[in-house]
Amino acid sequence: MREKILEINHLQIRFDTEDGVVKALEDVNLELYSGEILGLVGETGCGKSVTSQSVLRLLPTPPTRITNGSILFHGKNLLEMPEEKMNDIRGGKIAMIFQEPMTSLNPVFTIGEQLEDVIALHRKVDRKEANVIAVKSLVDVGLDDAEVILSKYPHELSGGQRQRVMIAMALSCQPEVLIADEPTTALDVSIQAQILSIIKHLKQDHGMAVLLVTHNLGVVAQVCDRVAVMYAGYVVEKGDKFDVLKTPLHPYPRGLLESIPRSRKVRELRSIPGSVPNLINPPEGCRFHPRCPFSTGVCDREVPVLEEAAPGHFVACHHWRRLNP
Amino acid sequence: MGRLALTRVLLLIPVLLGVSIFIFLLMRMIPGDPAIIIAGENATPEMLKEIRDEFDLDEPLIIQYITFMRNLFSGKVVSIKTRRPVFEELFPRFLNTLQLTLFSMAIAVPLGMILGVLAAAYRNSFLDNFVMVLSLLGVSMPVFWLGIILILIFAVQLGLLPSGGKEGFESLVLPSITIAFALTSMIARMTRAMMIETLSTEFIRTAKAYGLPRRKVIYKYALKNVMIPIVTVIGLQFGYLLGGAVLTESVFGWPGIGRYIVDGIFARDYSVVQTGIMFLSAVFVLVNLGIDILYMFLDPKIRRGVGKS
Amino acid sequence: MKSRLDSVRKIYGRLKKNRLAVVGLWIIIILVITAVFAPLIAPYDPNEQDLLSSLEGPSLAHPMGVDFFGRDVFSRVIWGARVSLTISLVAVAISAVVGTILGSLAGFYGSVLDEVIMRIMDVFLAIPSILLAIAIVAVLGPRTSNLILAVSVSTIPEFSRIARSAVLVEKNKEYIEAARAIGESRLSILFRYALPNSMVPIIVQASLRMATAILSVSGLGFLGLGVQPPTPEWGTDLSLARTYLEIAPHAGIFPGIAIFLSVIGFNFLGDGLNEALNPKLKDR
Repeated sequence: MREKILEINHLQIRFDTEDGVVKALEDVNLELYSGEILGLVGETGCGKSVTSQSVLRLLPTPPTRITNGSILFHGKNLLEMPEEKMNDIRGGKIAMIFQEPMTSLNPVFTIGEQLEDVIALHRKVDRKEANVIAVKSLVDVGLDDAEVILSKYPHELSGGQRQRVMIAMALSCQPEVLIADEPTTALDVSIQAQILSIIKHLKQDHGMAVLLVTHNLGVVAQVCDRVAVMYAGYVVEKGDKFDVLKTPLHPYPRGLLESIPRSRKVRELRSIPGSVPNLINPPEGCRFHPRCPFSTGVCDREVPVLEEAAPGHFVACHHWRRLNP
Repeated sequence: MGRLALTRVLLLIPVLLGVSIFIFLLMRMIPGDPAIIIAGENATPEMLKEIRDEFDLDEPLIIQYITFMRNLFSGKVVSIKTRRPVFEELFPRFLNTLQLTLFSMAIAVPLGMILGVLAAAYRNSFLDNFVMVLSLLGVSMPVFWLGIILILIFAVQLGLLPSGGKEGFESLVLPSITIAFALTSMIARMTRAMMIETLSTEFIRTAKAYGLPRRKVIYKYALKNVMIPIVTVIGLQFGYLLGGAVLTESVFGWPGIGRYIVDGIFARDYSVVQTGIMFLSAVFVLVNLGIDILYMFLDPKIRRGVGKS
Repeated sequence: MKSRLDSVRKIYGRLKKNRLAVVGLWIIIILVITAVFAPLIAPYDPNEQDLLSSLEGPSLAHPMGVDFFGRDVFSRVIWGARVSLTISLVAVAISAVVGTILGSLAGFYGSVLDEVIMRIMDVFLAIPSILLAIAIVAVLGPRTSNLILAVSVSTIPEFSRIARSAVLVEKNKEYIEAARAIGESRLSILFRYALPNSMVPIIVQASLRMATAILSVSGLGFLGLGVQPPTPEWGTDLSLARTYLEIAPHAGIFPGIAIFLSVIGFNFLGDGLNEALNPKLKDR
């Protein structure tokens, strides 16, 4: 059976700012199985990036405070792991790629220097072998003139090339999990498709589990196996891609999907009336209720729990039964 | 890159021309008859005429300026008081200032950078606060007062070091420390600020996300990024110090170029003043040019051109 | 308007949290009070000579001792605040106004005007500022007005560069375009919109420049080119005290501390303001 590699339980995160405490994550529950691509979707500010960065503990503390929850990797809590052990996980077991391939690479070192540093560290090899692995990884992601790329500086590459380099870096250390935080958002549409197909191949050829953060439902439909929808610091619905996209149970993803013109290929999540709540003073109860056409008295008092509506299909809504007869 | 460097060189010409015109006009604003100022109050009419001819004082300003520039370039400018070529007097003085500046920098650059990097690495720690307060005090300290205090302690009270003059290595110590104090502070502050900025960038997040040890992240990945702007700051300070060490030179009786020019000002020796300020301005802009070129060399974005985007 | 008030309040809140800035502010407040009420605070006339007690060390009657001419050092230090602050303040104000106007015009109109103004600024930047100040005072004579001129001239380029780049940033923003679209003249746009928004870095710079100005004024005084005796001025007094340093260090130490403290005050405040106005620098 599929193994649960990564498990996020009741994750709660706060940011201390001058204007007050931002309640960025309230209760996030996610699991990533081996060999799957899990899409994490939501509008800007819903907490999906925060969730993905908290796995490798990349959020600066202060101002970040993780106030509750655990992140289990093969059953071990990453949040309690000592820093040196964490550094073996980072890149070695769980690799990450980011939204901005332009600024994610160090501008004053060559690609080779940066790749080889990471490879030498995690594969425990010398510089020469690291170079061989780097070349192989670059070829793997479709950069055939690998030797040339290695001698270049980031500014000498195109956006697509840079993102491939980032993926090669992730791939080179043979991690079990890849976290991709909006990997295609900053790229041209034509290059987006190429990058997504590389990520799909990573899953197929290397058996990597992928957590793909995106705000684009089209991307989810294209590459994911399962999907989790976040809203204002909560996971409101998660399940198999087909279940969630075809028969969404929660009013929020339902609204999102209805608001998508069927003909458009790129699907943006922007057309529900109202706007994302301010997370310093979030709405009481269900955080979606001010925008929800179905909300009743209970919605602004009680936080709905995530319950299993159908096998493997979870939803957090007081009225999901009434709405989905 | 070569063309860029050439443009920079060409840009210097109008700046230096501007400096020469400004200084020339400023010196003509001294109240009174320049011939009398040059020759002294008791000069005979014949002497005044001679001086007027020599300096073209009866000619229009533009001719006087051209004469001055011609003399400047042919190295024929002669000190009004000593009657010796200014360059001959000025150059050894300049070397003295250069020696003092280089020695101060040898103290301040490594010390300032180490303090700045450590303060940024251990942000908000006791060390960080200490470095920040000390460096704010450092940039606030009047150099002439610090110099006096150092003389009081090390020369007068302890008798360890000479209080002034230029005799051997020992006489270099106190003036160098005086200059190095403010310089170290400035470099430490700058390094810290840039380091903190760099440590919050996305490429540093990448390095962390790939498990590179903190040491390597700070001392390799962040530091190299910081080095480039720091070199610029240090170079600028070097340029300023060559001309700005007047006060320190004055406190310690160091025979540098700043004091030479100030003595020239007091003596109303405008040959000395014009030539001296021209010389220092030229050195300053040339140092800046050197930094610009060094910067181009250090920054791969400029060195290797802008890639396909 | 309300949002501007809010942001002022926010900046003040941040400033209050910065301990160094608060210290700086207090030093400046004390300095200003000292300068304004010098005649009331000073126990003696700063120019009153008592040659019999020449170079006496600190005592109850003369807490900072007596200088060579038998004048009370404490009283001279207090009166010195008035001289230093006035000259520095006027000089910084002049260079801030002139520099900001020149820089804004250069940034806003661009092309030839920009080139001409900025090249002239380059000329002034190329001359070592302390020598420039010395030359100006030496040529024009050490009068207060010339001192102010000397100190402000070398500071103008700094302000114009800041104003220029701030205006350049604002210039392309939408509201400027909108203002132009409804037919406001370019100059009125500059003064009503672009300039107020570039005030922040200019204020920070002004505070930091006060520190430099105090150093320049006292430095000129130290070289004998500043405020002329017997007017009490820290740098000038320090220069006089230098001759008798070995027998009467107090006459030099206290004016020096006064310079040091005032410079610290403005540097601390400028630094704190900088952090309060650019929270990115210190988000902990």
